[in-house]
Amino acid sequence: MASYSTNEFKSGLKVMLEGEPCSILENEFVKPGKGQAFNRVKLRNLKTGRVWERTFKSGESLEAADVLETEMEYMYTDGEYWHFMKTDGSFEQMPADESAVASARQWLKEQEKFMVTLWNDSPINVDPPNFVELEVVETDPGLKGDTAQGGTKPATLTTGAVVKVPLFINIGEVIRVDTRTGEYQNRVKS
Amino acid sequence: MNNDWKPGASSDVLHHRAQLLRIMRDFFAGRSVLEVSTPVLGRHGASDLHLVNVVVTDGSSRLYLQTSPEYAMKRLVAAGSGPIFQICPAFRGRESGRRHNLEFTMLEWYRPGYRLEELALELTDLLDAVFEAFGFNHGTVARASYRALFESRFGVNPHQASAVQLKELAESEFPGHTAHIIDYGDMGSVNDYLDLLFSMGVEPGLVDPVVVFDYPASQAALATIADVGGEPVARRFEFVWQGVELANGYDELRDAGELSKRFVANNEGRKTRGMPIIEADTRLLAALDALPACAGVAVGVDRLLMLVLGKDTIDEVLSFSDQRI
Repeated sequence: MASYSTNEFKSGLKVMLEGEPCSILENEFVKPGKGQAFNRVKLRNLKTGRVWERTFKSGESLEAADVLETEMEYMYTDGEYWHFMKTDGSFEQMPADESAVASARQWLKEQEKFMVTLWNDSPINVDPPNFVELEVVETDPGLKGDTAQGGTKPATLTTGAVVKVPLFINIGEVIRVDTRTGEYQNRVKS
Repeated sequence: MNNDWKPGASSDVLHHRAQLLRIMRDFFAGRSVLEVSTPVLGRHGASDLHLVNVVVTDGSSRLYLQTSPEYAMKRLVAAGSGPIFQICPAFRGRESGRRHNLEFTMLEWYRPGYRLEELALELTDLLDAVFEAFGFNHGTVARASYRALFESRFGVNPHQASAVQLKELAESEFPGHTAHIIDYGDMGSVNDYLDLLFSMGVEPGLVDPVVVFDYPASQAALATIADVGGEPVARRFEFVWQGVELANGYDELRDAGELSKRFVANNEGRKTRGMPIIEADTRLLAALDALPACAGVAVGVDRLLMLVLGKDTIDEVLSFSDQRI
């Protein structure tokens, strides 16, 4: 596997650190007046999403991580694994474990497309699209005429996600949700 | 579409750059400090442990692009030039980043008969002229010793702390940030820990302009070492503004025997670290006996321009930075 020297570090580069695949967020060269040069680097651990800060001696190298971000379609779960299929025409299927789907889990809708991060050809992270459209399966009955502003109520969606919705939303309606904030956007005409 | 044929500095910045150089030249002309030019190319490089020389060849022999004009300017002063200044390119290998460029512009000047404090005042006068021209007003510049700053941040005397103590301090203060330091058990490694602690713990907090003086003796480079309150310290200062080191001044070492020893120690450290050995510059050593008591200081011109113009990267104040050559 190739390796990268600190002077090649740039945002988005995928490298291995302490056995974990990481993406470089920031790289700053530091050289105290008479001292040893080093690089202060911020990296995101692609498995956990946590941000690490490390220093490296300038000129030091890190091994490249075999990381690929690819679009995949969610198929089904067997309770232990969540199965995705490549959309590149190969129809190749891959199981993702619970930690990989953690951030996307409540938005996983069958046949919907997700960005899947593959490390050494296995999924380590699944990102939902920014907006998803999901059906309401449970909520208090809607209040007639209340279509403008006012209060909200919890609604459970097909994927199990619970979202605050306006009072006029009814079971069976499809709503659009921002997955980054978990907020209701609007009702989708079906 | 590749746009890197274009300069990093805008037309405005190029004008400000010219203005800055003009301010500097006017300042020294007003004080009868002579502008000189010394070779950018030398037969000797710098042996400092943490300087990487840019080595070139003329087809038969090895030459060094100068990391600073220090050696040549000292020979001029030793030959009786009187006070001199120079604005010239300097080269430092593997230094490239937001505030670093392989080739950069240095302002360096020497003042025979000046004490370090007087030189620091003259630097402050020059910077005041620059600040004023670019619309900054700072009032008086603070002074603080390296030890006082270090102690108030870490509660440890940097001149007395052992290597082990500094290592533990660095590891507890900045976990995950010490892996790059290899402990060779020499002064170089002690300095690595001091530098990490100072550059990460102290410098970023030095937002207002401050002259930091009396550095650890192990960081004397070509400065004299003096006893201050029973502790040997390097008679050096740095000017720091917005957390950035802008200038580095020395009470210049004039003892050829001591300088020879430091060159040897540098090369021992280089050998341990697998770095190329740099032969002592015998012409510099020969000149030291004639060098009058003097103080000298170097200013990073590009960085100064960055700060007064509020630019984030050195690329924005250079015509063509490393990324564009």
